[in-house]
Amino acid sequence: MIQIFAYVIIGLVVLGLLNVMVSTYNRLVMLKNNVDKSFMNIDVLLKQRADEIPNLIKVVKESMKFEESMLTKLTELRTQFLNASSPEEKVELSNQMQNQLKSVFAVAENYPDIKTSQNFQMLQGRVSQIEDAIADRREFYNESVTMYNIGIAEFPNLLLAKPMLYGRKQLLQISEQEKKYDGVAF
Amino acid sequence: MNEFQEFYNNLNVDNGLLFMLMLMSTFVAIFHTLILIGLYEINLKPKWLFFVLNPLSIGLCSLYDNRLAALIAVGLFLSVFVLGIVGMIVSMIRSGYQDSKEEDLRRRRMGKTSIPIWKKILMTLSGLLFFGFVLTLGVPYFILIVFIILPFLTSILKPDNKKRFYKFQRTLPTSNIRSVAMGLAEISGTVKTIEPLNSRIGTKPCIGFLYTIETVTTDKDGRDSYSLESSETICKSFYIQDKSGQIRVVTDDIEFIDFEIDEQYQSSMKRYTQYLLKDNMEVLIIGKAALAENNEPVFQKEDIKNVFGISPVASVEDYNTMRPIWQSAGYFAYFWVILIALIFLTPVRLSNNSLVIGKIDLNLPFQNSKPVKSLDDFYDNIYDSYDSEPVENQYNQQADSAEVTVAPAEKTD
Repeated sequence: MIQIFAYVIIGLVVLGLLNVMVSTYNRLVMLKNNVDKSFMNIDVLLKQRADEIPNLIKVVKESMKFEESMLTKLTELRTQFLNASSPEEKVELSNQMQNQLKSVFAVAENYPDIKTSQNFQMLQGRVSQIEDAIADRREFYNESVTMYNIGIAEFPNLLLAKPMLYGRKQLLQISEQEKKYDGVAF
Repeated sequence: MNEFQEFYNNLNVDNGLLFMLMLMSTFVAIFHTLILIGLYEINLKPKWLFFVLNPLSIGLCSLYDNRLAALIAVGLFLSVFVLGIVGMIVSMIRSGYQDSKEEDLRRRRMGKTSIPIWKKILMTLSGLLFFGFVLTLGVPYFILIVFIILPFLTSILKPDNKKRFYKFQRTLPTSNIRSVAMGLAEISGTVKTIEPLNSRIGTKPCIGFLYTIETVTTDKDGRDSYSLESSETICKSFYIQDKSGQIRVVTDDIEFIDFEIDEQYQSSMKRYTQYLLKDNMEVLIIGKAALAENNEPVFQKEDIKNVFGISPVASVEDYNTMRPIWQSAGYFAYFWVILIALIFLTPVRLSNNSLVIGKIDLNLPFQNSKPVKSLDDFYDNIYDSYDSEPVENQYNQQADSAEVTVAPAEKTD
């Protein structure tokens, strides 16, 4: 009788371990997909921001004739962004586009008719909203990556993560350009 | 037939035995009542029907012949098994049908077509074939698989909303509300009332409540145990707000998870409990961010992953604190259980001051089981499973290196 009992115990333990293995595998797959998804969610917002550029140019073009090179540069960056395929390229172009947009908004301050235009203010508000959302999603992406990196290093997950070739992922870094502080000019 | 006739003719039932049989039939009535109410879901009225019917049928038969009364008593006893087995099958079919209806409803909500009838029939036949196959392995295997292994597997593998909620909570990062991406998401923040509601117990103002009724059973030692009779969640739509913004939560099919008890009382062997979702509570929700018809972002049930739960942040933090401890305890228990099982399987004996450890016998148990074709096979299998190989044979395979010899004691003058 004891022998039967022992076999039952071993059987149940083996089944329990199998269950742990399956759920660990599923968890790792989900963590990895979360990272990919959260990156793509940033991409969606970057695209939304790029889509606002033609509207912006339409609003400011007439008044900012003298800043044509700035607007042309912005349009070029947008075209390059829409044609970019690799995530790294997209991030790089998006950062450049962000700086260019900032410059356009800053220069527009010198043109009172643009500054007071309702369309311009609406666009500025919209772009600012998207910027905030991008910042949130960058934070979210970094959180997803952190959870993934911890997930693949935890026991017993690491026993499966290695054979599945799941390596550490890099957090989104703030570029040197973004970190640079020029001081407040009055 | 002749044997039965002979057995019947030789029955000797005096009035004392008859009285005992009537008394026993009232005991059997407990099972009849429980089976009919629990498995067949029959609203038995009056509840004491079998407590009267069973002894009465024996009593009435005894007016004709005491032997017939005894036969009826045996019949009543056997009917418990027959009713129980049929009831289990009926209950399984009913719950399968109910599950299938719920699945259809879920698929319709997701815009998918329901599972075709031929697939359902195929699944039912596969289930029956599986049980049939297990039965042909022998009764001990059937008991092991159906009553121990399957319930164990079901308990650990059967998904429910709470398990899914905590699983996703460990995997999903919390989104800021203003930038929550469409699809499966986890958000956390403060609850804000849109339309107030009054609770079931004490009519307290709240946003939603979970109200449960449990049946209380007291054992012979006076310990109470509770089984859920009904559960009701009513929740109005509300806003959840964090530092970045707010979003409306559409509360259809929401589940309250690990809320603190607000009110509880016991009356007439029933326990009534209430859990409240109140204004300004800090909660965590897992569900789906979507757009409503007016393009307003809302938070609602995630139909594909079938998860939509709300839990106080404090309860989730407690769970996250306790989980690694339980997990470590689980691994520790696994290790010891395996070790104990191996000790059970290892034959050990003491012979001539030597501890002899035999080889672990890895032959499967129940080798002598035979297919069940008659009631005799059923009993044979049960008795055979207790017959073990002669002990001596097990030690014939002893491992050479496993012999431990006790050193002779030093002689003293």
